[in-house]
Amino acid sequence: MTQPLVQSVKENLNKRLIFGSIIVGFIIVAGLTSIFWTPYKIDDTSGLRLEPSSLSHLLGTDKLGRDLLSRTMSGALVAVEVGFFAVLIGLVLGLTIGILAGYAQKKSDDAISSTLDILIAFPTLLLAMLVVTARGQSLASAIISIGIGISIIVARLTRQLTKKILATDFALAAKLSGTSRIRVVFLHILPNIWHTILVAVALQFGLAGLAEASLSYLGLGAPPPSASWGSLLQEAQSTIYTSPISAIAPGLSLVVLVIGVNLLADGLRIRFDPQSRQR
Amino acid sequence: MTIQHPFARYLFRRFFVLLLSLVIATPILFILLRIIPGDPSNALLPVGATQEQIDAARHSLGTDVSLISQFFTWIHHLVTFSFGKSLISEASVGSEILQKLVVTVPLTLISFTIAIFVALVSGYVIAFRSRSWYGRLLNNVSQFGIAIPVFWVGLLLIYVFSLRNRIFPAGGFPSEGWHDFPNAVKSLVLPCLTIVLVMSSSLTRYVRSATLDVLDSDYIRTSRALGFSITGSIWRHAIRNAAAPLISILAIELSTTFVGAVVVERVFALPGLGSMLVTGISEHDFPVIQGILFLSTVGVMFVGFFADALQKFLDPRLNRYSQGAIN
Repeated sequence: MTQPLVQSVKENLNKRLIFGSIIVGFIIVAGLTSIFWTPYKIDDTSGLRLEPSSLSHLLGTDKLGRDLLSRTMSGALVAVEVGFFAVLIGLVLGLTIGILAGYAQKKSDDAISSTLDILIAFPTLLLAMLVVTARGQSLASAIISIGIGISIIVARLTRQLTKKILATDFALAAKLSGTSRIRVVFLHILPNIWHTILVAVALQFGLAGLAEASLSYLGLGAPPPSASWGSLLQEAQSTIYTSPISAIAPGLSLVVLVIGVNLLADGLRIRFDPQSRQR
Repeated sequence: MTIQHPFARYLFRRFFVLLLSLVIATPILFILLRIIPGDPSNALLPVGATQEQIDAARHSLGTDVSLISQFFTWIHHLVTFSFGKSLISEASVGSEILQKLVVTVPLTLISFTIAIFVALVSGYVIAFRSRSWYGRLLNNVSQFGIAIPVFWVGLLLIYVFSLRNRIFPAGGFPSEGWHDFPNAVKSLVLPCLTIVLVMSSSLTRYVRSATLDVLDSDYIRTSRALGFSITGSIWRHAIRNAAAPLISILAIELSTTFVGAVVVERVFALPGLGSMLVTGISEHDFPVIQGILFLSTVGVMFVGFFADALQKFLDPRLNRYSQGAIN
């Protein structure tokens, strides 16, 4: 009985998928833990200023005496939150627009796809600045703008994949036998495209964290006391000479998250399409 | 009048799309920035201002008239390239932007050009020498590079090259600007290096996969079968075939480089467009924000237009507006 199980696990997993999941899982757990418990409160200024790393403060303290391990952990929560909700917005909006465009006829399809072509070139960070100006500075502004950015990528991909599916014989057969469009979407389109979309969206999860960090670094992300890796880095810039670790810890966390997510996405792609291993 | 030549017809059509998207984008940008919570005149007023003072401030900002006429005032500002006056410094936004471009444009273009050259070489090496130690090294470095936030690279470079070893300044730009040429160049070295390191990594990935696609292609196989060397086949066939898809990526990456410059200016305290924009946003200085975002939008659209035109010129088979029918 165990033999088929081991075999199926082996078939379904590859090194990248495993390492990627471990890294991303670790960061998600660290972030979620910070909701209930951090070594110190994130705005607790009881430590000495700019303490180097020690047993009581593993990553040292910042210039206000706040524990950096606690703040880096809560930064993980911000990154995970932004990644999750931005991807959710991107998926819902992007799949809807993409499938509609996939069904659209010549003129309206042209209109949608050339709009998407123009929008995709518009940098997410500039879009985020627009949203921040219009809505005010908050985590929600960051999430909404990054989500819109992701939805454009998802919409383009979905449109292309939908067209491909609709051109197949089984989609034609479904149409001829009178299956409603909604049923075709759920029976034929989504089951055939979800893995490609999943790989694309997995990559965007990491990029969303990166975009939020840039925004926070510029001072346009969630306002204090929220501790994003970007705002930690901005605070660390003035004290980098005396305490380099305060600039290294949040930056390295961000790099590890993005690399982990890239590995995960790559692993998923190989899992779904074993022949693409070369690339 | 009908235009006969297909390329000219394409250009004409694509230019029409460009104009149309500008006509659509301009009011959207205006409306988005006018629903800012709070009255922009608050920025000008002391606490406890009287009604007359508030009215006077609104009048001087031009926010006391209807949105429609504000919109046309703004269009007038756009056409005359003045973009209105900054609420804080009261200087013309247009002329202030011109001053800032002196920093941002060289930073963006120099870094982008260097990054392309680095990426062409390293992408090619990775594709051809994937089993050698330097091919693997470059491959790993570029995979690491796409995961690094640009401002963190800047911070680390400041730590190594300005604080630990005082080789380059940690930030700032000489007050005489480019008249103080050696110092101006010196202060742009680290910012450029920052952008090049990050941008060349992502460009390397594209060059690598484009090269691999080419090596797999039928025309290279045929060319090899006819007795041409690999290098010969690539020179004869691959460059032109691989260029078209790379150009559309380059167009997007140019905007990414510009955004990188916006962030990097902040890291190195350079008085460029990015610093002006970020300061404008935190001070709610909406003429500044509007002006810079409008110019960036126009820039992005024009780059897209030129990229499409160049692509079509290199590969006339492409027809992006009927792509849906083929796929």
